Amino acid sequence: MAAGKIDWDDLIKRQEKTFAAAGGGAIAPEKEQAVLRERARLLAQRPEKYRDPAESIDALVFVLSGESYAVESAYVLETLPLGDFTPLFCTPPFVLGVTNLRGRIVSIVDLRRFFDLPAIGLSDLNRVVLVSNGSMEFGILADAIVGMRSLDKGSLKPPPETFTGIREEFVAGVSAERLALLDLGRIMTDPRIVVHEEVA
Amino acid sequence: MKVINGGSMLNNLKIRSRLIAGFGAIVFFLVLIGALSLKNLKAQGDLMTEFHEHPFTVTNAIRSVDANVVRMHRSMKDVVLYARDAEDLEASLADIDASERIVYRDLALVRERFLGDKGKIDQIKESMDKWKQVRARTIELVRQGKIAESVAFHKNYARRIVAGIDSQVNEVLKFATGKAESFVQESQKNQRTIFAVTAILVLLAGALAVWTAFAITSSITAPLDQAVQAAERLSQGDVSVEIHSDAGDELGQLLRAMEKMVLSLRRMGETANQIALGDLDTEVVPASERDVFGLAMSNMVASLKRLAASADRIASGDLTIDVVPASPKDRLGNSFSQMTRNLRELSLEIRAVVNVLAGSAAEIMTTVSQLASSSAQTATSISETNATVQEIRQTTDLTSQKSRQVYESANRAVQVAKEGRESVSSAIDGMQGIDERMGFIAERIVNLSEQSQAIGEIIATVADLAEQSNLLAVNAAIEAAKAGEHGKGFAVVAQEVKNLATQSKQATSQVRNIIGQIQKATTAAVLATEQGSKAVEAGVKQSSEAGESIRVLASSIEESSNATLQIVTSTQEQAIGMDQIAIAIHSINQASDQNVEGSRQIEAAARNLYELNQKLQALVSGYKVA
Repeated sequence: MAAGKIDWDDLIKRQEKTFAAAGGGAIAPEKEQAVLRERARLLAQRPEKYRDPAESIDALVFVLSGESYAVESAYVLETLPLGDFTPLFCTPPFVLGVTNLRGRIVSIVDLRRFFDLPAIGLSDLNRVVLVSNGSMEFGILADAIVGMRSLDKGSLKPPPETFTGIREEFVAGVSAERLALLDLGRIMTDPRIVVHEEVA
Repeated sequence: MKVINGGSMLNNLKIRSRLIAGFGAIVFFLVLIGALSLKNLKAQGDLMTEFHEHPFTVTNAIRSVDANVVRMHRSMKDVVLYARDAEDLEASLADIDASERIVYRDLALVRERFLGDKGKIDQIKESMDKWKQVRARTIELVRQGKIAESVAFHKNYARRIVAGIDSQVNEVLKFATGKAESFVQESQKNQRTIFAVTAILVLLAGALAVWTAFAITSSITAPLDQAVQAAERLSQGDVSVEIHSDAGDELGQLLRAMEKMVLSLRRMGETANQIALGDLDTEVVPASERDVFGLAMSNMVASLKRLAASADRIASGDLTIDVVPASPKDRLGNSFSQMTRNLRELSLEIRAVVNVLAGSAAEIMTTVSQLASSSAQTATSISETNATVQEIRQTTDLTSQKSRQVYESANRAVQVAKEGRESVSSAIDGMQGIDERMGFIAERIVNLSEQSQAIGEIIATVADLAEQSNLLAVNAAIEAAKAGEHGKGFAVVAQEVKNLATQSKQATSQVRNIIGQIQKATTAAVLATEQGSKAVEAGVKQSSEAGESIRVLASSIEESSNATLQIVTSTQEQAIGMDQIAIAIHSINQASDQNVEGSRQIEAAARNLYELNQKLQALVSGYKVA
C-alpha cells in the first residue's frame, strides 16, 4: 500500500508469460541449437598430437586432500561410491574397514593416513577406486574422481623435495600439472600395506 | 438506749475474786461432808469396840463359866462314881482344878466388864465358894473311902448349888444378850441418821455449785454482750449508742472506757458536722498529745480558717495574696492558689480587653459616620444599576434568539454523526473482508513454497543421478582403456557421457539456487501478507475507535443541544428575573434611605457603648493585682 498503486495488469501478464514458458516444456529452439553447436565444436577438435601408445600411460586421476593423484588404469577395476562399510578391530589406522561389493568383501584403505596426509573427514562425495594386481584387491578412498588421463611417460619427473617420508617411496613420477603418479605395483607388494596381526 | 446496770453485789467483785468465792464455797461444802463422814466412821468404830469389849466378852466368858461348872460337876460325879481308882481320881481332881481356875478367871473378867448389876456376879462367886466347900468335903469323904456318904453328900448339896449357879448364869447371859441387841439397834439408828445428813449436805453442795456457775457466767457474759453490740454499732459509725455501767469489775472499766470513747467520737462528729456546715469558730481541743484524730481536726480547722481568710481578701478585691498549699497533695490549697492566679490573669486580661474595647468603640463611631456618607453614595449607585438592568434585558432577548439557532444546528450535527457511524461500521466490514483475502493469499503462497520444496527434492534425485552417471562414465573410460585401440571410440562416448553428467550437475545446482530464491521470496510474501493482515486489524481497531469517537461526539452534541434548549428557557426566565430585579432595586432604594436613618441610631448606640466602657474601666481598677 505504501508503494503506491499495484499494476495488476502487468503482474498478470508477467505470470502468463512465465506459465507459457514452463508449460512449453521444451527449451527454446535457439538455446537448444546453441547447445548442440557447442558440443559439435568440442567433438570436432582433434587431439593436439597423436601419441604413441607405448610412450603414454592411461591413468585414473583422483583427488586426495586437495592434491591430484593418478593410478595406472591397468590396476583399476572400477570406481564406486562409498556405501556402508564396517570398521575392523585390530587393524592399523589406515584400514578404514571392509565393504560389500556385489557379494565380494573388499577392504578400503585410506591413503591419507597411509601417507600421513591431513584428514579432511568423510562425506557423501567420497569415492572408492577399486584396484587389483591379480593377486590382491582393495579399494582406495578418494575425495573425488577426476577421470581418465593419458600421461606421457617422458614428461614425468621425479618427485620434488616436498614429497617426504613414506609418500616419496611410492610416487613413480610427477607430471607437469603436479599430478603424482602412484606406483601401485610397489604399494601392493609393500609389506606395510599387508595387515597381519594376531590377538592373543 | 439500753442501760447496762450491774447493781448486784456480785458485779462489784473482781472476776478473780468472784471465781475464788464460788469455788471456795463448793470446796467448803466438800470438806464439811468429808469431815462428817470421817467422824461417823470413828463413832461406828468406837461402837464396834465397845460392843466387842462388853456384851460380846461377857457373853463368851459367862458361857465358859457355865460350861466349866458343868464339867466340874460331871468330873465330881466321876470322882464319886470312880473313887476306887486312885489314878482316875487324881486325873479328875486335876481336871476339876483346871476348870475351877478358868471359872474364877472368867468370873473376874465378867465382873470387870459386866454393865448390869455386879451383885449377881458376886452371888455366882459365893455359890462357887459354897460349891468348893462341898467339893472339898466330898473329896475328903472319897479319900476316906466313905463312898456312899460322899455320894449322898454330893447328891444333897452339889446338885443344888450347881442348879443355883446355872440359873444365876442364865440370868447374866440373858442380860448380856439384851445389852448386845440394844447395841445393834443403837448402831443402826446412828447409820440412818448419818446417811440422811450426808445426803442433804451433798444435795446442798450440788445446788450451790450449779448456782455459782450460772451466776458467775452470766455476770461475765452479759456485760461482754453489751460491749460487743456497742462495738458492732460503733464499727458501723453509729455514735448514738449509750453505754453506762456502775460495776467495779474489769468489764465495768471496759464499758466505762467505751463510754468515754463514744462520747469523744460524738463530740468529734458534732465538731466535724459544724465544720461541714461552715462554722469554723469551733475550737477543737485534742484529748491528748497522741490524739491523731483530734490533731488532724484541729489542723484541718486551722487550714480552713487560713483559706477562709484568703477567700475574704479575694472577695474584698485584693488579688495580690499568694495562697501556699499545705502539701503538694492539698487539692483545695492548690485549687485556691490556681484560682487566685487565674483571677489575677483574668483581671489583667479584662483590663487589657477594656482598653481595646475603648479603642473599638471610638472606631465604631467613626465607622458609623462613614457608613452614613456611603449610604448616600449607594443611593446614586442604585439608580445607575437600574439603567444597566434595562440594557441587560435587551441583551437577554438577543441571547435567546442566538441560542435557538444553536439548538437547530446541533440537531443537524447529531444527524450527521449518525451517518458517520454507519459508514465507519461498513468500513470495518470491508476491512474484515480484506483480512480474509490476505489469509487466503498467505495460504496459497505457502502451498507454492511447499511445491517448490518438492521440486528441490526431485532436483536432489537428479543430482544424484548425474553423479552416478559421472562414475559410470569413468568406469566406461576405464573399460575402454583396457580394450586398448579398439576402445578408443568408446572412450570418446564415455567422455561425452561424463560431460553430460557434469552439465546436469551444474544445472541441478542452478535449479537449487533458484528454488532457494523462490523460498526466500515466498517467505517475504507471507511476511508481507501477515503485515497486511495486521495493518487491516489496526485499521479495524482505528475504525472502531473512530466510530466510538463519532458516537461520543454525537452524544456530546446532543447534550449541548439539550443545554442550548435549557439556555433558551433560562434566558426567558432571565428576562422575567430582570424585571423582578428592577422592582427589587426600587426596594433597595427605599432600604438605602432607611439605612441612613439606621446609621444615625447606630451612632447613638456607639456613644452609649463608649460610656459603658468607661464604667467597666472604673470597675476593673477596683481590683488590686500587684
